[in-house]
This record gives sequence, structure tokens and C-alpha cells, in this order.
Amino acid sequence: MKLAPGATERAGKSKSNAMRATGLCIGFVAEKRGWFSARANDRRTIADQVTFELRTGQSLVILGPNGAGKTTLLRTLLGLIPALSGTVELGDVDLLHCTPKQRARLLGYVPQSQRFGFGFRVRDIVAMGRAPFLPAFALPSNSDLAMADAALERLGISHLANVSSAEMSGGEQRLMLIARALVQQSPFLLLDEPTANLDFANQVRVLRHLDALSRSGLGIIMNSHSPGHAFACGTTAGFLDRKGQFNVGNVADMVTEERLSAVYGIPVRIVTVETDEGPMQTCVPEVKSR
Amino acid sequence: MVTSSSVRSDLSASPRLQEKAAPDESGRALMWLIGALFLGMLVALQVGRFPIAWFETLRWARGCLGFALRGASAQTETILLYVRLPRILIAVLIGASLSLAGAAFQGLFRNAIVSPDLLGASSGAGFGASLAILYSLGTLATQVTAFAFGILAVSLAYAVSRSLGRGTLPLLLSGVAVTALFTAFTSITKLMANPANKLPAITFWLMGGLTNATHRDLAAIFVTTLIGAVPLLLIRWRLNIVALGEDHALALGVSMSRIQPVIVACATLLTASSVAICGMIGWVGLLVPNMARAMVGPRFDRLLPASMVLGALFVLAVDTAARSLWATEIPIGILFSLLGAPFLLMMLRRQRVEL
Repeated sequence: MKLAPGATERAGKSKSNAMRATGLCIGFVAEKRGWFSARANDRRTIADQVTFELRTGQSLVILGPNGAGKTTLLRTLLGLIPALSGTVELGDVDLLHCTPKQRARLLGYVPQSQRFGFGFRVRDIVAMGRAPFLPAFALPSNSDLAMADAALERLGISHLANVSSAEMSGGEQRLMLIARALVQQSPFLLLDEPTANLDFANQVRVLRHLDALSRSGLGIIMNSHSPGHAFACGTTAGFLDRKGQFNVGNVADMVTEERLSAVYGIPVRIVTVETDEGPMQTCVPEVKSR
Repeated sequence: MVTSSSVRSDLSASPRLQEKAAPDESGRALMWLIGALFLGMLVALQVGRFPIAWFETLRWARGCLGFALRGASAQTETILLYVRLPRILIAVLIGASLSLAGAAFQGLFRNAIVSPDLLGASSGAGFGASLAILYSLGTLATQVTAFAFGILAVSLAYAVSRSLGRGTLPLLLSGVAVTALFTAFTSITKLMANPANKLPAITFWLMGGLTNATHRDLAAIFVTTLIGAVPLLLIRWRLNIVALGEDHALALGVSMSRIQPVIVACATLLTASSVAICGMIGWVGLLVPNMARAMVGPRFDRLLPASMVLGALFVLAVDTAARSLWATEIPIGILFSLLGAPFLLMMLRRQRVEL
């Protein structure tokens, strides 16, 4: 399988092969906005002291209960909402204070699925990943479109290139957005619950693709509701709990029966299953079969 | 690659809606539209209450281009050059402006049923014009006041939206509020107007028309169209990204806080200047981009030029009909709604637009 041009070589040649968050404090602060201003110190902290380091080729699966702030953490790393304090660095770039264009060259983002109202073609949406490299007034060239095609090919969805994005299934849409992020050629990929709302098989397809991408040298950060995903495609797991504590470490050290039971508040078992491709670990919550 | 035989990529190519126009096809559609526009302008020169023979018009046109030694007669030339041509060009520029502004707003607000006066440009201009008519300020002053109040209304909507929050939703909400506010102001002016002469004048202005359009208007609308259209056409590909929403835009390195004011300012300039000359026909800017979308597909880099040409053609056709079909001229605002409403419903049905 061909690699998308540049993804790995780019990560290798520049110094941007490690992403480092130090003492990051995430949450919301009401801005003062002129006439009908909100109270100035209306500030809500969600998590404090988020610290981790991730290298290219590693993948971090962020786990935690609903409302713990997984999505807020991801959006803060992306610069979609401002951080309350702390730093995030990628190589020697300060991600919290760089331009959107600079950031888009370093971090690819796969948001949760949504409506694509105007029904752009899949190929056109994937080609939008070239935006951080194009001047403001430019249109994508043939080589940009060729990169889009290569990314579609890599994810095995070439046959969708000319389909309207309004007519895609959830799984196809997710793969399209991953393809767009690949076209961004960023060394790191951030995904907001990449398996949400997908059927059983599509979840597996997306996880396998993410695992392959990580092995090919991309750094991956993803949110998940399913702790088993850490075994499937994570090298690192981070737990964000309701008290705003963020703990991160190797998957094997982090995803344990004790921790899962404590974080989610239900009894959980970790079991190993023999499959055709070797032993596989997964998490089973204790729900009695009828 | 990890994909094993048991987990094949999902769904082979099933028959699904493929985008209508391939690149060359959409380029051809644009060429056809431009050709139709030139033909339409020639026909519009010919058509009117003062009868002019075809060969006279053609001879005059050739004379202008330097192909004929002798031009048309003096009377014919006066009518063509000083009456019909300015009005035709104004109709073309207004159609292009409103349709381009509408297409840009549809991208910004991510909705195919948005019109370019969404943020109050029309209702502000309507109030400005009513006020000027109420105080008997004359044609030029009426247009200037209308333009100024159109800009003022949108500026107000923009300022208020900043205090509501970031993004396009606050802008939309404050736009709706400002539109209602200025519509109420217009009603108050109407209440105060003398029902014998001022009230009909205001009502007639609001219905829209190019009856009073002159050379002077042509120069003004040409300049505003140029200033408003060029930046929008330059960023036409980025508009596709804007149309995906703020999260996608930022993730792709497009700063909404920078591009949004540009779109709003350009579209407002185009809308306010058009409405100041021809009255409340902002509706064109909703209709035409949807027609253009049916021809060249959803991509904004193709949609913007196509909307401009189609809008020019559309306003030209309706204005020509309005001034020549009946004994008294019909305000084009009325004609637009009569023709446009069924047409829009048909378009939206055919396209299955997700609203």
C-alpha cells in the first residue's frame, strides 16, 4: 500500500515529531464582549494540569465518562477554544499561540460527523485538506487533486470520489474526513470519537485504518467511549475523570480492571480472546446475560 | 495494509447521486450563460415602447464598434445610448451584484435559502429611502440615504452580534432583529407620510424598479460592484471551506474571524448599492444562486461566477419585460415574486437540497 505522499517523511525531517502538553488547564471563560457583557470572571475549569507527551507513531486514546471534558480537551488542543493556562508544543511551535494555518499544517482534525448541506463531491472535500498550503486566492491544482485521490485510495474509498457527501453513510463520511486530514500531511491527527454512531463493522474498519496510520508514523490522538479501543489501536491511554484529573501512560498499565471500575463506576472485566490474528484483549462490563 | 479479506472496504460503488456537472461541463454552462447574456442585452436594446427597427440597432452597434462608416439616426442613437443602454447595464450589474452577494451569504450561513438582505441591508435601505422621500430630498439624496442606511443596518447587526458571541448564528439572529427594527421604522415613516403624495411615492419605491435609473447610477453601481465582487471572486474556493462550518474551517487553517467580515462587508456593499437604486428586490439573491446551483453544481468556486451571469440575465429579462410588455410599467419587485416563487419551489424540489 502506498503511503500518502509526505506524511511520514515530513514528520521525520522536521523537529515536529513530539507533541507536548504541559500543565494545560482546560475549561470555559466568558469573554467580555462589549455592550451586553457577561460577568468578567465567569470561569469554569474542567480539567487542570493536563500533561502528556506523544511522539509520531504513537497513538493516544483518551477515555473517560460522559461530561468529563474529553471533547473540550481535544478542542483546546486544536485551538477551537482557548486554554485557560498551560502550554502545548509541537516541536518548537507553540500550538496555543500560532496561526490557524501553521496549526493546520501540524494537526489534522477529524470532527464528529455532521450534515454536509450543499452536497459537495467527496473528492472536493478531501482536496480541501490542501488549504493550509495554498495561497488565499488559489484553487487546488491537479497535483492537489491527485493527492486527494491518493488519500482516498489509501483508505480504500476511491469508488466514492464522485459521490455527493450528502448521500454518504456515517462510516464513509468518517473515512472521507480521515482522508482529508491525511491530505493535510500533518504529523499528528486528532479525532473526536471516530467510531461514534458507526455500526459494528464500520467501527472495526475505522480502528484498523487508524492503527495502520499510526504504525506508518503518524501521531494519533482520539477520544473514545469504548476502553477496548485502547487495546485495538492505542499505544498510550489517558483517563480524564469527573474530578478534572488526567492520568496518562502505557495502555497495559493504564487500562486495568481496577481503574476502569473506578472511573466508570461499574464492574469491568478485561478478557483475552484467541482470534485468527492472535490474542486480543477487550473490556467487558458486567451485565448478566438473561 | 491491515485490511484483511474478512473486512473489506464498505459498500462497492452503489448507484448514487453523482454530482451533476463535471469540470468541463460547468465551464461550458458558464460560457452558454455569458453568450445568452450578450444576446439578451442586444434584444433588450431593441425592445421598448419607441419602435426601432432591428437593422437600426445593429447598425448602431456596429457604428459603436467602428465597423460601419455611418451610425444610426440621431434620435435612435439618443434613445439607445442615453435611455436603454444605461438601464440595461444597470439591470445587469444589479442582477450580478445581488446574486453574487446571495451566493456568498448562502455559503457563510451554510443554507441554500438565505438571501443577501438577511442582515438588514434591504430593510435599512427601505427606511433610508422612505425617510428621504418623507423630507422631499430628491432622487440622488434618496439613493444616497438608502445606501447609507442599508450599510448602517448591517453594521448595527454586526456590532450587536459581537456581543452575543462568535460565529454565524449570533450574526443571523441579530440580523433578523435589525431587519424587524428597520421595517418598523419604515412603517412609522409611512404613518407620518402625507397619504396624497408621499405615501404612494414611498410605497412605489419599496416595490422596486429601474424607472428612474440614469447614467449617474450606472457609474455608482459599476464602482460598488467592482469593489464588492473582486474580493469575493478571489476567495471563491475558500468559500467551500467556510460553507462546511467554523470547526472545519479552523481545522483547515482558515480563520473565520478574518474571512467572515470580508464576506459580510462585500456582500453588504453589493446589496445596499443595488437596493438603493432599484428598491427592495433582494429576493433575487435567494433565487438565482439556487438556479445556478442546479446548472453548475454546489461548488462555490463555480457557483459565484455562474450566479453573477445568471443573475444579470435574469434581472435584465424581468426589467425588459416590465418596461415593454404593458402600457404602464410594472414594478419589478412584483414581477420577481410572481415569477420567482414557483420557480424557486421547483428548483428546491429538483435538487433535494438539505435545508
